[in-house]
Amino acid sequence: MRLLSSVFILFLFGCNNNKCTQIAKTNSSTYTIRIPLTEIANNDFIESAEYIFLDQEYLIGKIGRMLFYNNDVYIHDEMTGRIVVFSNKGKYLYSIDNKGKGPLEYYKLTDFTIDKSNGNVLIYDQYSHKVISFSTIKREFVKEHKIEFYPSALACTSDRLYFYNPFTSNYPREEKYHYSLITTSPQLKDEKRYFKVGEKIGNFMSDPNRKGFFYGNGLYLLNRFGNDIYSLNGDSISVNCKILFENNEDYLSALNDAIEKGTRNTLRYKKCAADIRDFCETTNHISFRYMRNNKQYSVVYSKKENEIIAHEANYIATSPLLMKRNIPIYLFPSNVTNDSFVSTLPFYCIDQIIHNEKVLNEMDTHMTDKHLLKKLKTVDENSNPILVFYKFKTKLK
Amino acid sequence: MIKYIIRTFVLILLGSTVLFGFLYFKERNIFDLYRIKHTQESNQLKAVGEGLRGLVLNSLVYNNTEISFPKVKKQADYTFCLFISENQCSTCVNAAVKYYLSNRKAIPDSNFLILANYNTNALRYLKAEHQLKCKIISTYGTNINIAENKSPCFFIYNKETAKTEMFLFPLKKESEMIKAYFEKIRDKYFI
Repeated sequence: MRLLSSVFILFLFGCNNNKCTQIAKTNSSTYTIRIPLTEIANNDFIESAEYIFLDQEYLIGKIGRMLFYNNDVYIHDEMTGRIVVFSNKGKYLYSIDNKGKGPLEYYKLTDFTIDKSNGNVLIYDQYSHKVISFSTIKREFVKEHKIEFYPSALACTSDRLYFYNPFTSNYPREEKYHYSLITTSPQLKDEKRYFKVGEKIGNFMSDPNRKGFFYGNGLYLLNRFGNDIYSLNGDSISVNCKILFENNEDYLSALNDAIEKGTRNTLRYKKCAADIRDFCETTNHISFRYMRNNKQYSVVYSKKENEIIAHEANYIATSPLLMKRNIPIYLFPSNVTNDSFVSTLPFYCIDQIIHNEKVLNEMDTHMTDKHLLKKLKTVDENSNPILVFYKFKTKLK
Repeated sequence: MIKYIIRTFVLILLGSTVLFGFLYFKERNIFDLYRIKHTQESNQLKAVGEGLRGLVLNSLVYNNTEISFPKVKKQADYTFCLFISENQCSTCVNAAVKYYLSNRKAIPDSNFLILANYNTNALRYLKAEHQLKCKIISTYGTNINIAENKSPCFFIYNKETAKTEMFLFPLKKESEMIKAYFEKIRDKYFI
């Protein structure tokens, strides 16, 4: 009994300590993914794929941010600075376009997000430093808010609006906050808030050249100087995913060396696994890409089985095995819905297949979905990219 | 000596009159077209007149020239073309494309072709920005001999003679004239 009570007292005291709180949190919500040096090249991890051919009524220049809301697909056309809305079957619905320098107009659409509480599309105009709301119900611009900082991306959860502010010229002099991330209420009414600098979250600044936020089951932010993914929830930020690469002990020192030299283009840095991108998370899986030895590797991790089901340098694949299951081509995903991974197949990927007689013959032999095959053959350089919704297996056989 | 100078001067004058007269009659259709504008408000006449001189000269230079026209499947006898290039100012290109888009009903889509001296990316941007659904051929890397031209231009390509006709270098803010030009093209070639 004495022993039991002393263990209980020790437990209580122990949990008041910050370190313990941190560990408990890490255990409850953090995924640790260990990436080996060896590749797992097996196309058998794909359970199913659905190919959506986007309507040719609207020709997309270059797909940027893509969000899914109410069975519709919202695509930022980076070339033309418009947001184009398609149904989940690929039918063109409308485009959001109001370029200008006047009220309720935008000049440089930098990023957009969707406030799911009211169905408003929030557009950030980096030129006029304002956020404009477009009502998807009324299909018109409804309001705008000026902001006094210069973020490069914005994202929204049910109760918070986040700005990713990587340009250090905007930072105040205090060093106790991460000024690269700012949060406000979605209405932009309250004071902007910062996140405290602390050991727990380290330096989560992302690369200014990237979009900053990743969507999935939640909202995520990538660490710039490390291989951790952070999860944003209300006013808190926590490590969601730790990615540990085998034989990557030199990473931090190589990174410091690269920072000192002012370039990541060093032999030491290139040998390390780094530069995680396209992080996507669904209920059962996590996928991302990273760079090592000038190669781009893609990883698919099963959360349920805690195992890597795909890890390969080649991120575009076609094989008789896939064809038999009516998956003519696989391209690594760069977007995600709640339950599917999404990749955008551009013409140059399809071109390699439809102009290769051998592959085309194999497709004719193996594919049973002749309608899909026929549609694939009609794709040309003027066509919009094809959206492919993948579902992955939770376990490899 | 003075007589010799006068005689030479008169000869040059006569020669140039004959030459330009010949060119004028050849291009009288275009002159007819431009006259439409002259009937409009008098305060605009001066500006229009100055612009027209440039336009007419350009048209004279480029009309009836043989061009290395790209191979087109099922080419009609006359193809109405818009030539645009990366060397041209983007405002002029945008204006020319908008002229086409606003007058496109006059010309069947199958008879219209955009020759674009653009690289792949720039071409994709152009198509996406204006949502162009007509036939576009990239002349990037080819020696099409109107490529040095600093302004976008419309013209008819005659398959039989392999020469250009009815050149027009559209003037900014002259939408009425462009409309008339499209109608003229339709009446002459596509009805």
